[in-house]
Amino acid sequence: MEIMKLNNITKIYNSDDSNEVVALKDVSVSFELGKLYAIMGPSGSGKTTLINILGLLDDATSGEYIFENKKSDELNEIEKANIRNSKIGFVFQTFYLDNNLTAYENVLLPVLKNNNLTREEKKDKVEKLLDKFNLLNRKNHYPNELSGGECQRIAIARALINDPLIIIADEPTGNLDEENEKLIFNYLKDISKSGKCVIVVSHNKDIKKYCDNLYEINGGKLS
Amino acid sequence: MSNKDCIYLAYKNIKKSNIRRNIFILVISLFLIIVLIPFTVYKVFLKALDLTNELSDSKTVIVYKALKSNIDYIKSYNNKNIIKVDYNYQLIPGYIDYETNKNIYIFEAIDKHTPKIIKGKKELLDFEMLCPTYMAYGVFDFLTYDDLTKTKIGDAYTLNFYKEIPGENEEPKYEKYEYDFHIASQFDAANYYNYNTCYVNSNTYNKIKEIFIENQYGEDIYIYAKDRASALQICSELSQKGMDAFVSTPDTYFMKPLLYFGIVLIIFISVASFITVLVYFYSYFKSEYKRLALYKSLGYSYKEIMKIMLAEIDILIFISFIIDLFLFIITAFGLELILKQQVRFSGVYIRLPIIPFIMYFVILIIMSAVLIKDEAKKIKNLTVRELNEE
Repeated sequence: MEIMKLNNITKIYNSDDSNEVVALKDVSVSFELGKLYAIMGPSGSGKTTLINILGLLDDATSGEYIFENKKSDELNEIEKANIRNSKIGFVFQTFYLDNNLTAYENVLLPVLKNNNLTREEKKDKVEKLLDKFNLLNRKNHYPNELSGGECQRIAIARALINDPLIIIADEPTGNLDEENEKLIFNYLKDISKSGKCVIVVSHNKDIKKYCDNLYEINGGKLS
Repeated sequence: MSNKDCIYLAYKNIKKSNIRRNIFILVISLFLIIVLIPFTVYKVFLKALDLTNELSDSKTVIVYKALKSNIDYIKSYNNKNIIKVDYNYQLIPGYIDYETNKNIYIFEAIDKHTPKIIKGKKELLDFEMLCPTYMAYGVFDFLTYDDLTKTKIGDAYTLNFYKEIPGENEEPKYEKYEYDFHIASQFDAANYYNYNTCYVNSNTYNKIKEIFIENQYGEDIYIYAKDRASALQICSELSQKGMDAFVSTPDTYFMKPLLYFGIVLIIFISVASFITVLVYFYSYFKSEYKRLALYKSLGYSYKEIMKIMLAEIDILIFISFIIDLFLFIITAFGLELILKQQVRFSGVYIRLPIIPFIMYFVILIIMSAVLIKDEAKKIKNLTVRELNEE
């Protein structure tokens, strides 16, 4: 089932001066639920720009982005924020955990703004996820007290807390050793098998073993 | 997102020590203390001035060396703001014990000319007294706190009054009159800077007065007015008639410079505070870019992020507020302690000027809200790119 579709998306930075950078050029692609997509490409190829657009963090200069049958340019700021919160989960290369919050609080962060759940329900959700990733015993630890693998598992738990349809992972294994790398790829594969759309941007060629679809991006062009 | 959660996130973020934040708190706190001190001193003098204006002296017109024609004029003078005219006011009937060298002034309790009663009854019976909460037996200006004695309702005092009578070889003799008094009510001595004046009813006052003054007109006339404005007006009218009329005026020459100094300081500190907040804000926003970009990626709207930022700033301001309260209490306590040992007791009361204190923080909070609103617009442009920036 198609969840997102990009039609001729172009993104140009600094379009009004001489430092114009064409980050994406006529990108057309669609993503379905239940699949793991890998996007590979060198630095500066436009991977992050693509993630920003897919994650509704940035707008395209031209083209059409359809999210769940709705055009992104018809969404206002609050609607985009709500979609990011409930339907998209981000996983980053350097985890981007809030160092002032414990593992438990970091996972709680996206669900905190959900007023439909009670405090107890939120707590229950977070603890179940931490348990699933074998982190329950580390819930009161701060990120600087955890290993890289643990931090990335917390980041994945945080991305999953609102049970989103899409997981966007930007170099999720970039800072991990081989053992943790495999663990994270397996987690992401399992997540896609559970019916979610997982998009992984990576330099790591091992991703090919796990993905259902592989795209390569170069010079802003997706192939 | 509930306000409680916003405050929770803000609290978690500021919980971890941060030098920039600590400097911000310290600067805001110190600025306020600098503003508070001149205002406190000004308020102390202002209160003293207000109370002085409430005292009998400030509402009494004294006509010196009144001639018979002056007395006739005043008798026919019709002014509804005059409470009482005392035509034979020669002396304040002071109680002086020559053996112990103790001294108390006895005044007549005239409506609007007596201090506010804080305890006890309003209507005094014969030989009942309205006394200060702390009594000083001596000349007001040279007393210290150690010379004060606490009084209480029901206390009995036997006071001896001495009438001077001519003796042989021009040596004066003293005739002793002994009266028993009871304290029936009290006024706050500290508020009125009045520690050695007691008030009795008119009947008692006249009895004491008869000891000193025979039933004849004295040289000076005392006119008790309803309020200070009336006293000044009566004084002016009598002066125009050629009388030597006078109303005591408290010294206020130091008040205006103190106020101007306070205002200049408040303007200076306000500008400095504004710049501090501004500098802190821009550096704060810059350093928190990543965290804010993360919040955005997790689905927080820019309004929610703005709320979190505002909560953080407000918590910092609140911490400054609490620190300031403590600083003020310590400063006030220290100042009072030093001053009480060094100078006479009157006028040494350091009180928190509530309105400037609250206003300062309200202005800071409003200013923060305006700045955050402006800064938060940038959140709209935050992307994953900011997260990747090292």
